[in-house]
Amino acid sequence: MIPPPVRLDAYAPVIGQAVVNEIRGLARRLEGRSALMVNSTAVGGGVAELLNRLVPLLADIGIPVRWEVMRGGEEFFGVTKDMHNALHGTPAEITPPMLDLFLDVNARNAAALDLAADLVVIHDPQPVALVRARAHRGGLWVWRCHVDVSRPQPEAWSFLRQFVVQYDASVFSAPEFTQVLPITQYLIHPAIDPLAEKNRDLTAGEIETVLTRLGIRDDRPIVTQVSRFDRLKDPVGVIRAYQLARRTVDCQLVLAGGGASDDPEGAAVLEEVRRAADGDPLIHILELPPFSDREINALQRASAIVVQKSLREGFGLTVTEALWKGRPVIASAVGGIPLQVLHNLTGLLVHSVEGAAHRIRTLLRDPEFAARLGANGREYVKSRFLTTSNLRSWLALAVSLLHPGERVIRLP
Amino acid sequence: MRARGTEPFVFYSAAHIVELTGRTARTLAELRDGIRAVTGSSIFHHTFGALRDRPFTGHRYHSDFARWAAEVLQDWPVAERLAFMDPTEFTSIRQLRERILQVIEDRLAEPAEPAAAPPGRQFHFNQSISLYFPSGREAWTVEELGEGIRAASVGTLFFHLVEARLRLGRCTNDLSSWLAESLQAPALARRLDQLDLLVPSAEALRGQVLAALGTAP
Repeated sequence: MIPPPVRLDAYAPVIGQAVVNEIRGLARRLEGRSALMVNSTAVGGGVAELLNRLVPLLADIGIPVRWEVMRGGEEFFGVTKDMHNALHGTPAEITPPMLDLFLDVNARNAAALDLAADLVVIHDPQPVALVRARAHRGGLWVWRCHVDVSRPQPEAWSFLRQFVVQYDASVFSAPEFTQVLPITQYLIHPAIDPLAEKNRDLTAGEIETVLTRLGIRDDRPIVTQVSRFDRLKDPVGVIRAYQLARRTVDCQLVLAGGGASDDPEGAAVLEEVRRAADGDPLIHILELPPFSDREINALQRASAIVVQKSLREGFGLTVTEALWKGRPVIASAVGGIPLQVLHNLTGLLVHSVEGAAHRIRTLLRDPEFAARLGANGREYVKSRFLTTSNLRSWLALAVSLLHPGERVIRLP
Repeated sequence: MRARGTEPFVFYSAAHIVELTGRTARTLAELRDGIRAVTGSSIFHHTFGALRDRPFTGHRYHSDFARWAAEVLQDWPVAERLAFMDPTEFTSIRQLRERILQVIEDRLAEPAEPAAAPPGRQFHFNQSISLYFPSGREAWTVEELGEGIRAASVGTLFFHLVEARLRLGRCTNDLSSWLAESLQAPALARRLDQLDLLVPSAEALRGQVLAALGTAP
C-alpha cells in the first residue's frame, strides 16, 4: 500500500518549526532502521486514516517504511468482527472453526507478505497471529491495539493473548483500555490531522455556506453533538439537557450523525431522537452522508458549545476535533474523554443530564470562561493529540526499544 | 563578564514515551502504596511530566496526584495540600516523593470517611522514558542564547529550565550554570535563577527568560 506523499514541513505553521526540527532530529537517530506497518484495511476506519498520514510522514523524514494490508475475505472479516465485539464484551459466539479460519488466514498472509523490517508494527487483532512467523524474520515486533480490551469476553481475550505475549511490546490508546500482560505496554494516544478536511481552518464564508445548506441560521448560540445515532452516545439525553438549559438561556441544538438507513438499531434510535425533539424547530437532526468532513468541521466551528454526552466511549476523537477548533466542550467522564477534557481547564466533565444542562447555561452566560476553556483545549490537543505528536511518539518508542531497560536515554 | 563563553551552550531537544506500569489505585491509601512502590520515572511523570504536558493552565494542580484527589476522590483537603506543592521547589525525586507521601499520610491519619474512585476513574501509574539529544544549535554569547530561547520548542525550554533542577541537584537551571561558569556572568545567572517557573504558559516563561537576559525584542 503506497499512500499519497505528505510533507512534515506542511505542519510547521501549526506546530512550529522547532518541533518539526525536533522530529527530524529524532528520525536522524534512527538512520538506517526500517519500519513496517501491517493492518487489515487500506481505506475506511480510523486505523487506515492514521496510517495514510503516519506512513508518508515517516517516509518524508527518512525512515524506510512499508505498509502491508493483509488479505482475508468476507468470511474471515465476519469472524474478526465477531471477535472485535467479543473483545468489547458484547455477546458474540466464537466457535473452533472460526478460530481455525482466523489462524489459517494469518498463516497464509505470513507466507505471502514481506514481514522483514527492523520495527514491525501489527495493528489490531486481525493480523495478530502473524507474530508466529517472526522467528524467520528478526526485527522488533510491536502489537498496536486500537481497541478497548479492558472488559472482554474471557475466551476471546485468552485466544488473542497467546499471540500478544509473543511480541516485544504493545501499545494502547489509553491506560484504561489495557489488560495485564507480561510484555511492556506503551501509551500512544490516537490523533487527529490538523490539515485534513475535517480539521483544517475554514473561512467564515465556508462555514456560512455549510450552515445555509444544512438549513441552520446562525442567529442564536449553537450547541452541537456530532455522533452516530447510537444509544451509547445518549442523543436523547442531549435533547433533555438542551430542553432544561433552554428554560433560562437561548440556544439551538444540532445533533449530527451518519445516516441510519442501513442500520436497524440506528433507525430506531433516530426515531426516539425525533420523538424527544417533539417538533422543536430549534433542534436540527442531521443525517449526514459518509465523507461529510467539511460539514462536520463547519458545524463544530460554528458551535458555541460542543457536547459529547456518551454513556460509553472509546478515546472520543470527536472531542479531540472540537477541542482543536477551540470550542468549549461539555463531555461525559467516560472512556478516553477525561484524558482530553481536564475539568475546568480544557472543558467541563459531566455525569448527568442535569449536569450537562447546568454547564450549557454556565458557558452561554460566561463567554469569557468558555473562550478560555476553548483556548486551553486547543493548546492541549496541539501538544498531545495531533498526527505529529503521534509520529513523534512512534519515533521515541522505536529509539526506546533499542535501549531496553533505560528510562533516561541521552543520544549523541 | 566575558563577551563570549569559554565553551558553547548546547541546546538540547527532548522527547518522551509513556510506559504503562499496570498499577492502579482506587483510594488514597492505594495511591500512597503506589507512590511508595513505583519508580522515580513514574513520580517524575506524574509531577514534572504533568507540568510539561499542560503548559497553559497556570498549573492549577501541579501534579496528577493532586488532580485525581480533587476531581475523582473529591478529597479537597489532600487535593489542596498536594496542589500547593510545587515540584520545581524540589531538586530530587526522592525528596519530592517523600513530601507527597507525608502529605497523604497526614491526611490518612485524620478522621475522614475514605473515598473510592468510581469504576473507570482509577489512578493509573505510568512512567516516562525520556530521550535527549543535541538540537544542533549552540550559543557562545548572551545574544545567541536569546536567539536560541526565542526559537526553542516548549520541550527544550522545559528541559533546560525546569528538569535541569533534577539533573543539577540544586535550584538553578542550565542557562544559569552556563552564564555563571562559561560567561562569568553571576548577576545574570542569579536573575535567571529567580524566575517563576509556574507562569501560566510556556510563552510567558520564554518572555521572562528573554526579559531577564535583556534580549527581549
